[in-house]
Amino acid sequence: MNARRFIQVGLIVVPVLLPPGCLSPPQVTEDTPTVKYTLFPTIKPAATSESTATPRLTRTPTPSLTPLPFPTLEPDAMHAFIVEMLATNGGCELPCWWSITPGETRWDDMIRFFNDRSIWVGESGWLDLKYQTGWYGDRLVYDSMMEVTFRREGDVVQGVVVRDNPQYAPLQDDFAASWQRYALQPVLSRLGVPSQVYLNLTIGAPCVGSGIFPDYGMWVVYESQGAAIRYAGLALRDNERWLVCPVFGQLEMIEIRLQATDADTELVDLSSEVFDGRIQNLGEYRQSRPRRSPDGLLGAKKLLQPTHFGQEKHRIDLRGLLVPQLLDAPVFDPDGTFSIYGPLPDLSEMSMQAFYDAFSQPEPGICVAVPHTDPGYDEIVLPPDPQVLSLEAEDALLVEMLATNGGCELPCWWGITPGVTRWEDAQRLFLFLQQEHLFLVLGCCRVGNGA
Amino acid sequence: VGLLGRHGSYPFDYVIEHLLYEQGRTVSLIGVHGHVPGWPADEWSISPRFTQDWQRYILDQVLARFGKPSQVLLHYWSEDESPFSVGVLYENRGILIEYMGLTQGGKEESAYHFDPVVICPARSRLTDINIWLKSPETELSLADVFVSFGGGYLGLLSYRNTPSLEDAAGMSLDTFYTTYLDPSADVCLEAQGDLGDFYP
Repeated sequence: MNARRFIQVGLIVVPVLLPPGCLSPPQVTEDTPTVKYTLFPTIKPAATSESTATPRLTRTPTPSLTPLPFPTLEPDAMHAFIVEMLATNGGCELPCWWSITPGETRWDDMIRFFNDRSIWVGESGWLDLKYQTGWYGDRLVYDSMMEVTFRREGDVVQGVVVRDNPQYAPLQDDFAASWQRYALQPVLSRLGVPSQVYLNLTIGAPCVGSGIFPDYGMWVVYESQGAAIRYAGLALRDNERWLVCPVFGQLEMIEIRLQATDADTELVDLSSEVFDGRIQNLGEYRQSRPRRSPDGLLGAKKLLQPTHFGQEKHRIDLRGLLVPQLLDAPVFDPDGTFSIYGPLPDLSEMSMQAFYDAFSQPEPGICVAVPHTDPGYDEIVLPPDPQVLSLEAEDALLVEMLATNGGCELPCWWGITPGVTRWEDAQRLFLFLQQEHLFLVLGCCRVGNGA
Repeated sequence: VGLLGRHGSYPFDYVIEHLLYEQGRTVSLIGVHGHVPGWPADEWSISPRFTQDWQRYILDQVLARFGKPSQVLLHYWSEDESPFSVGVLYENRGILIEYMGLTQGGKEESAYHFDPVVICPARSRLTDINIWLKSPETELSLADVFVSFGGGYLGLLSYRNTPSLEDAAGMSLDTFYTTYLDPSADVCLEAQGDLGDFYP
């Protein structure tokens, strides 16, 4: 029953920032082994004063602004620098990030700003905020305390993408406090009514598996201000609706996208977001089959997940016994996830103004309510699938299962034996049946932990 | 897991609901509810496909495969045309099969409740077959399961009185076994009205 269950784990080294949805396998650096942590010994602070760091660097910098704290290269100081910058944002407001303003700050000035603070900037614009996580053989292994990547257009910083790193415990353990400045309520209070809010509810198969919760991702977008922030949390289910009751830090994930206010690109492209591995909280191996509604923005879909348990697909004899032609089909993860996504006003009856009015308050007292999706969503969204059994074939399969009991005898039922069959295998069987459209899943029920 | 099995389109000939319980990452208890929609409201006739498809789990078939049960428990309301349950328990095997249908009977003008309550678990009159399967490690006995989870797909009211076959109908397990082992047997039980439950 732990929200952390959703957070992907693994040893990740971040020598380069990865595109959304990609996870790096464990990597090692090519640095010379050394016990003492060093950040990037070749960096030299810029000697010129052509451009001075300011709370809001512009093409015409002002030389009289207060300098920012100067961190050391030690991990503790790096951590302190990040905490300080997250708390103050370098003295400026979004879309400015740590004194760098998209559309205004020159690329070289941005690099110099961070180099002055002994923070190296990679060629592709990522900040080297790494810390040593351990050893791999005789080599040091690093990860990043958080991710900050600047995007360049010409000689100007055009945008920034910021993410927390779930692996960096010192910051994650104090997530809500560390990132408080960017929490929903203070952001709404400072920036006003958002131009759009996108919701993406990821919902596990109803009641299949204890500890599997529906969750949501929510983009709060200020298009004209060049800022968008993604929050994540757990969704609640009542009899008629999914409820999104924002609690900052419920799922310790945040992403911030900033860009020049005159940029012609959309901050959030939901049609691609819903298939983005990062935006899905549930796992590193999730690969959704793109099934989009015509407008690509609003709908619901199943997320079919080729599983890492693929070798176990023969554990349940029922599959081989009754549907041998499906043995080569992918085996899917047990949570049978599907997604409901779209702009807030289309998914609920809440307007942007109502959203602002409610959640700019410290204690909103209300939730966003999304009506349950029509179970027929698949037929609306999905293209015809030749693999799906016909109604007659479904009936025949059902009758055969009842007649043969899946080739076993009671107390075994359709291949599931109480006290023997692992919970995950039972889930997998029913998910398999569901995905083949043999049965309709009716909804929540009375599953509990033991009788 | 709530699953709806179907034959054709709505209203289906029958529905199937599965309930799975977990203990220590292992399936500990399975409940299977086979139910004919429309009953007991008597809106539709019982589809013959129900007992046809569920042939394997019909009483005579079960008795033939598993032998004399360890216990037979009853539940019924002391009313006419109300749901009855005949729970056939195989404690050592962890198998409980509950057969449900509608009671028949009548009562004296002055009587408070029906007596006897007529229970006919013959195949043609069944509205539900519920199967509960448990692991040996599950602490609940099958009798507990019958009391706690009995009632099937529409089981909204919990059981209070679940008398044994012998107490309620005066029939021994041996007689029950030999009687209903015969597929053609259309024998009804006459249960004491005062051992039935009363609607709250």
